[in-house]
Amino acid sequence: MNRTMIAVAILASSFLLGCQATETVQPTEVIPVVGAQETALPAETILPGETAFPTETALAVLPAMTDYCLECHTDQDKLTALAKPEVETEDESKGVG
Amino acid sequence: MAPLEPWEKVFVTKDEFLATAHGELTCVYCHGGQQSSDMEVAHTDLVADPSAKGETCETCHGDQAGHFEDSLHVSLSGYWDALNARSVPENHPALEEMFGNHCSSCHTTCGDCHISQPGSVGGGFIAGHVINKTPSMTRNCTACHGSRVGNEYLGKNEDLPGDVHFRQGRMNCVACHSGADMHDSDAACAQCHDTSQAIYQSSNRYSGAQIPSCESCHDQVGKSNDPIIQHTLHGDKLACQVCHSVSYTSCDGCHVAISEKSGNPFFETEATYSTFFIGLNPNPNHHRPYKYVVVRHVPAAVDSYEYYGENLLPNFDSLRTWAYATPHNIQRKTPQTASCAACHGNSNIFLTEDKVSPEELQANQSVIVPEVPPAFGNP
Repeated sequence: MNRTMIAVAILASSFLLGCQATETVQPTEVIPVVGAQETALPAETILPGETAFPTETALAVLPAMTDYCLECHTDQDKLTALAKPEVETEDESKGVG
Repeated sequence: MAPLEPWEKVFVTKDEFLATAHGELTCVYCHGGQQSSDMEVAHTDLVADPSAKGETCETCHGDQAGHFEDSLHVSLSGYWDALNARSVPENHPALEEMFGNHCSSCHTTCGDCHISQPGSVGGGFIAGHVINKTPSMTRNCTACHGSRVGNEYLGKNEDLPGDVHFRQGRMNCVACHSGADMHDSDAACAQCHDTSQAIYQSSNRYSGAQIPSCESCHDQVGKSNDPIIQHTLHGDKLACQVCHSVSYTSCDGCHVAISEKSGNPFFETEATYSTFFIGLNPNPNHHRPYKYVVVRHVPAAVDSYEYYGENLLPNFDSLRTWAYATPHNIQRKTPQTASCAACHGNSNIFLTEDKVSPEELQANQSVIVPEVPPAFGNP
């Protein structure tokens, strides 16, 4: 009997606790402290097979990619040398078009 | 307009172009081809004019290029309206061949107005591939619209002054012809009408609203506060050009063929002359209620395309050869504004039957003036 009573009591308590609203834990407001020492960010971990992003110094020494289209089309001498001479064609039309 | 040197046609002004938004795109993004120091390789699959299909420009300029195919500059549908009306379906294959050889070069792409001179005048960049929002009046607009509009507007016809809007206002084409109207020729009509209906499909540019209209700037004309009494007296009877145009160009008999010597297409017009004739408005309507308009002779002839086949225009008389015109040589004072007698009783300036060649009388009945307005004092 006692065992049954205890079991019923435990079960009832469980239900009651289950229905209780869950208490939301409010995040603690972080107030930045002026002058507080900054925590150093963890160093970037390079995973195996990954290439490290080049540093500013490394970028500066990389050769700039050549835009061949612009290189040619902004060079008057090159265009003049490459241009095919235009064949003068006689306009055979007569009158106002 | 001096032709560009071959190198100049494709010379990109680096600093100016790269400073623009389009300079941020890679060349191959629009033009295809490949990045290579070898010219042949670089030009493989190159698209010289990416705007020819409109889609490239539409990616960013949807409002302007989205209606690419509805622009008369692209569709050239005015040509086919005339060809369809004067021909029959069985003649279309021959006319399509003719059109491809002689007419389609007038087709205009976005780039033909905003980057380069049109191909018909030799092509080449206007400003080192910098994309101009506003086309150049002389290197784009009148490069194509030169022999009539350009010469009239700029005063290049002997003894005839240029248009007052140019002489005194230095107005360029876009001052009246807005970009919206150029990009979508149906846009203004579609604001009020369902332009998909057949009646609008068969209409021409003189059927509907005047875009631009003179009144859009001169809005006092004909109103109670108009100090010029002649405006009120004539009311809607006269198109503005009837009083404010001077002589303009008419042409006769354009014929096209392929040269036996060079294999190139060419044309010949039988005559070009200066005229000023007032005719009847062939299609008075809400937008153009006038009784009188000015008319010019268009260079169409019944045998214009004879090189491509016999009798290709069996319904030639279904369209007028004296066509409603809007000359671009507006003047405040003209011979017509000199006195009432300049027009009333003056048959010289009206398109009367005697001025129309006998074989074209039938086609032009709707514009021929049967009776000249009487001189005052005459019953």
